[in-house]
This record gives sequence, C-alpha cells and structure tokens, in this order.
Amino acid sequence: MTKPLNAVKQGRVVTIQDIEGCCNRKRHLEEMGFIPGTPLEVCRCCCQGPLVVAIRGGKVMLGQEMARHIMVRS
Amino acid sequence: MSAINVALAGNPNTGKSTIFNALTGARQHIGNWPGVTVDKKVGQLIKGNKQVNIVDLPGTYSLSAYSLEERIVKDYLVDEKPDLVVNVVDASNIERNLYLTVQLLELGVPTLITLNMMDEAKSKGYEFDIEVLSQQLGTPVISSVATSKDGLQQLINSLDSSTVKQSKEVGSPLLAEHIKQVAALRKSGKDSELVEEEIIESRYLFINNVLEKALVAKEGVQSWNDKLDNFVTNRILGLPIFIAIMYLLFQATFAWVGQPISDLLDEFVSTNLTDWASGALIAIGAADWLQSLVIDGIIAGVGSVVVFVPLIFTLFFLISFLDGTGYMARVAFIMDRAMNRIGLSGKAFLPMLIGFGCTVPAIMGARALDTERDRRIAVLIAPFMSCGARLPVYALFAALFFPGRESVVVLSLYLLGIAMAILMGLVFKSTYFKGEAEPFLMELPPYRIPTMKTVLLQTWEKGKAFLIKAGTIIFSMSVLIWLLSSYNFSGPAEMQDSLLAAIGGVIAPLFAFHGFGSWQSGVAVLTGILAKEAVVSTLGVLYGVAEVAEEAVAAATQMKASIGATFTSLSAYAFMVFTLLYTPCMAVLGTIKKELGSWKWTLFAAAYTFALAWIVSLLIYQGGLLLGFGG
Repeated sequence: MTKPLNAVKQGRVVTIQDIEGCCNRKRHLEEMGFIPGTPLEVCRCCCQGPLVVAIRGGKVMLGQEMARHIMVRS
Repeated sequence: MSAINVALAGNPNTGKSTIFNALTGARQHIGNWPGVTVDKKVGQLIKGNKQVNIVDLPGTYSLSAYSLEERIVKDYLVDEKPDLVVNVVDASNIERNLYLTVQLLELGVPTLITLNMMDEAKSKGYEFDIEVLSQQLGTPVISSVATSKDGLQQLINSLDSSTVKQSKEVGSPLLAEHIKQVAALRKSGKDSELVEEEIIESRYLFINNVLEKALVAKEGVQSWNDKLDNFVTNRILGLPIFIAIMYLLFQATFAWVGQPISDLLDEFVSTNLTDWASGALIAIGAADWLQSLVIDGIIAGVGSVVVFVPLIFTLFFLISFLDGTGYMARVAFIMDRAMNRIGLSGKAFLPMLIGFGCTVPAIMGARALDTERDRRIAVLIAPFMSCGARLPVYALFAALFFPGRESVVVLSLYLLGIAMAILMGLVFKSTYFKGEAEPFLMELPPYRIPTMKTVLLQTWEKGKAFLIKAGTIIFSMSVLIWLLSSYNFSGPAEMQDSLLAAIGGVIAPLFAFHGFGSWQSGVAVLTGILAKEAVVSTLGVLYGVAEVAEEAVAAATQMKASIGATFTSLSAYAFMVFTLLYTPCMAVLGTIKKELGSWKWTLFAAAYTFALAWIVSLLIYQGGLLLGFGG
C-alpha cells in the first residue's frame, strides 16, 4: 500500500516508491539519496512537525511539505 | 615541481576544516571568492623544501551548481585545475558522502580520498577494506581520524607528485563503465530532466556496487547519539532545553568567565592606564586639549568598548563550540514548526543564529535559502537577533541597574529579539509576502566534540572584526564625539553648551516619553547607527568627561555613577530594548543593500526597525510606570 511519508508512524521502515513534484525539489531529494527503491526508517516524527529519517546510513531532517511528496510502501 | 596546489573538497560536517587547520596551522588566511562574499580559506604546508598550497573549498553535497557554494567548487575545479583534490569523506556516512566523490571522479580531477571519522564508523559497525575501496574507485584512499591526528602524517606524506601520478594512473573497470554510461545518457537526447534523474540513480548504483565489495557493515551499538536526540528534539522538551542552553551560555559569559575578566580589564583601563597616560602627558608637557582628547576622548571612548572584549570572545567561543557539536542542526529541527508559521523553514533559523555573533554574516547566510521571498523575509527580520556589538550596552546597563541578575536580564533581551523577529515575520507573511514556506531538507549530523583548535580559530575569526572596529570606527567616533562635546561654533565650550548637546537636543524630544530623553542618549542613539558599540563609547565619553573634569580618576566607575543619575532601572531597560531593536548599523544596511539589491528595501529595513523599537520601548516604559516599576 502506498502512502505519503508524512503518514508513516515513528519507527517504521518503508521503501520509497515515487517522488512527486518536479524540478529542484525532486532533484535535491534524489541527490540526498531519496531514490525509488531505497529503504528508509522514520526515526522521529511529531504531528505536523518535521521528520528525521535514517537513509543510506545517515540521517536527514525534512519538513512536512517535503514528506508529503515522497510516496512510500511498507 | 617545487610547489603543488591541493584543494580540499567534501560534504559539510566531515571534519574538513579540522584537517585544513591541522595541515596549515597558522599559515592560513581568509579571503573572498571572486565576486562573492563566500569565505575562501587558503593556507600553506611546508614539507622539507617543498611547499604545498592548500585551498579549503566550501563544503557541498554535490557539484550540481544549484547553490552558490556548489558553483564555486565546480568552477574552481574546472578553471583552476588543482594538482590534487583531497576528498574528505565521513566514513560513518560513507554512502551519501561518496556521491560527491563520484562526481569528482566523473570530472576526471586527480583525487585522493581520505576516510575521516573512522572511529565513529567503527562504533557504527563499519569495517572497510581500504585496498578494495581504492581499487573499485580507481583512486588512492587513506584513512584518518582528524580529531586525533591519526593518519594525518600519512595524509601529509601523500601530498606529493607521486600521489598525483598514482591518482591519474590507477583507474578502475567499474568506474570506467559508470562514466561510459553517464556519457551515453547525456547523449541519449532524452528529456534533460529525466537524464539527470537517471544519472543520479546510476551514481548511487555505482556507490552501492563499490561498497558491496569494500564495506562490511555489522550491527553497531545503539549510540548515545540517538538517546540524546530523543531528549533534545523532543516535542515538549526541545524548546525548554534550547532556552536552558542559551541561559547557561549567558551565565558563563556574564557570571563565570567573561564578566570577571572584563572587570579586571576595566579596573586596569580606568585606573592604571588612565593614571599612567595622564602622568605621561603631563610629563612631556602636552597641551590641555591634548590631555583631554587622550584621557576623556580616546581612553574613555575606546576603553569603554575594549573592556568588553573578554565578554565577547567568551560568547563567541561558546557559540563556536555549540556549532561544532552539531546542536545547531537540532535547533533548526525544533524551530521548523514555529518558522513555518511565519512562512519560513527551520533552515532559515540558522542564519538567524549566526546573527547572535554579527548581523552581517547572518544576512549573507540568508543566501542559502532557496527563494527570493524567503531571503527577503529572513534579511528583514535577522537584525532583531541581538549581535555581539549590542552586548556591551546590555553588559554596562545590566551591571549597573540589575546587579546579580545580569544573565536573566540579558537573556530576556535575546528572547525578546527572537520574539520580535517571529512577530514581524508573521506580519510580513500575512501582508506583503504571502505564500508557502520553502521545503525543509537538511542533513542531521551526529553529535561531535569539536577540536579546541577549530573552535579557537572560529572564535578569533568572529571576534577579530570587533577588535578592528574598536581600533577604527570606535576610535574615530570617540575623537569626533569628544571634539563635538568640547567645542561649539565660537570655540571651546562647556559640554552642555557644545555642538553635540545641540545635536542631541534635537533628537532627545523623540524619547521624551521613553524615560531616556536626555541629549546624551540622543547622541548615543545616533552614533549607534554607525556601529552599535558606539552607543557605549559615546556614553563613555559623555558621562566620563563631565565627572572627570577635575582629575583623571577611575573614569569608568564614575561613568557608572553619572549614568545612574540619569537612568532608572526601568528607563535603562527601555533603552536596552530600544538598542536591541532599532535601525541596524551601517555595515548591516550596506549588506542588506548588496543582498537585496534595492534601496527601497534597505530604507524600509532602516525605518521600520526604528519605528518598532520606538513603539516597543515606549510600551515597556509606560507599561512599567503603570505597574509601578518607576523607581
């Protein structure tokens, strides 16, 4: 089942399905390693606030807006 | 080849600066990249009879030329063609760090990879086969832990022509294959957006293939990092922890370290130095006006600022240390939601934190934000973050009117500054600058203990400007203030009949209802626009001269006594609030003009901050009177 990253609960490991949107935002995410097929873990999230995810052996913070555009499957 | 040119490249937070400092020591200087105000650090390493010139390139995650820093790095590599690029890689975050490495290898620049932070990687359960890594990447690799100098000697030994030669010759079939594929994609004639995407994917594929052979990742211990983050970025605890840390910062500055040293210096300047200078001037038979200029003008003015140097250096030292630990990134996380409300992302809070040091780099730092709208809002609200130059004003007034409670009073001013920044951001967002916040995306570096050398160098870089200003602007301002306060159009005059009193008298009525409507504070407000420290040096000259007329004794102590007669603790607080908020100094206005490229916005920034300061300090004074704090 696919859902946006901001709907994933803390502690879950999910796989990136697709990145919505385009241009700089998408490119920026991809360069940071957010590529379809990549697993990531949601380390911290709190209602409507930013998230911390563990991806490719490092940690990245991203805002709600960003997370909404990352479609993942569990 | 007697000298080789080496460039250091790497992601932010990889210990690149630590390596640069360790290699070059004191033989470095900081300039600007041509046409831009990004710092360019250049240094030398002398190895026997050979010289190695080292450039520290800005830390970047990629070479895609989206940001200014990325463009600088790419242009430098392509145009200047350094003999060797030392790519500093954080071994504990190798996968994403190698992204930049792959781009370097694609460019074909001779590269030496130094795997840094090996200790962290080990505790994470990473085991590298460095030989295999080197074979796969087709370029020499060495390992190091910059913070403990391990492998540093090996790095120094490697900075020679044989490494350059080696890096050109090694090559790897895997890399050759990757480069061929990238070239094919570029020529495929597909949509460029799509091509870029596929190239990024192919880079990560290449990295995965390399690491599959060169890295054994075992289960590491759950680090204290994660546990600490649970507290520090906690939804409820995060903000109180941030405020508590700020409080400790000020407590250390005002109560434990900075203030005591400043007091010693103050004692020295106001007694020993003044006595000595006055004795020396009398001994050489200097004219009365010259004695007055030196004692009442220069020593009272410059001295009143110089005594705050230990205070400012302590604060900068602590901020640099905090910056090095990685805590600032957590602050961006904590503040993201609040910043979203004013239409900015947590990332925009970082330049504002820099503003605690100096507003000029804070405004330059706003460049890192992605949209014009975000940059404008950040630039307009950054001056409310209280800079180091405003500190002497608080330090002087807090010590005088709030003895024993300095830290709380000063913290309240800093927090008021943040609150005003947020409030004005809110106003801008709902009026002129409507729209969505820039998306927030940032690496979260692990906590680290910064090396003393790096922290000290940063402290010096930040504090240096303050010393230079004391010697230039503050010096000439003090002379000018002395001159204007000792003369009028008909010759030497008593201070209350001087030109300066006339100028201050024009400004004073503006603050009639603020509790500081004297001509002296009027003048201080005026000179504060040239440089904020000048508020203190001006008061130093003005209140110093009046009391020291008969004999040069304890200028600063007397100055305190005479200021005490003019201000009450309430009006002193109102004056500090006004100093916090009003028109930024000339250097800042100049930077705003440069960054926003518009006189209209620059004048707006100068005017609206003045208006806001006027209103807020009026409210505080009148409100305080109503509540009975008038005493």
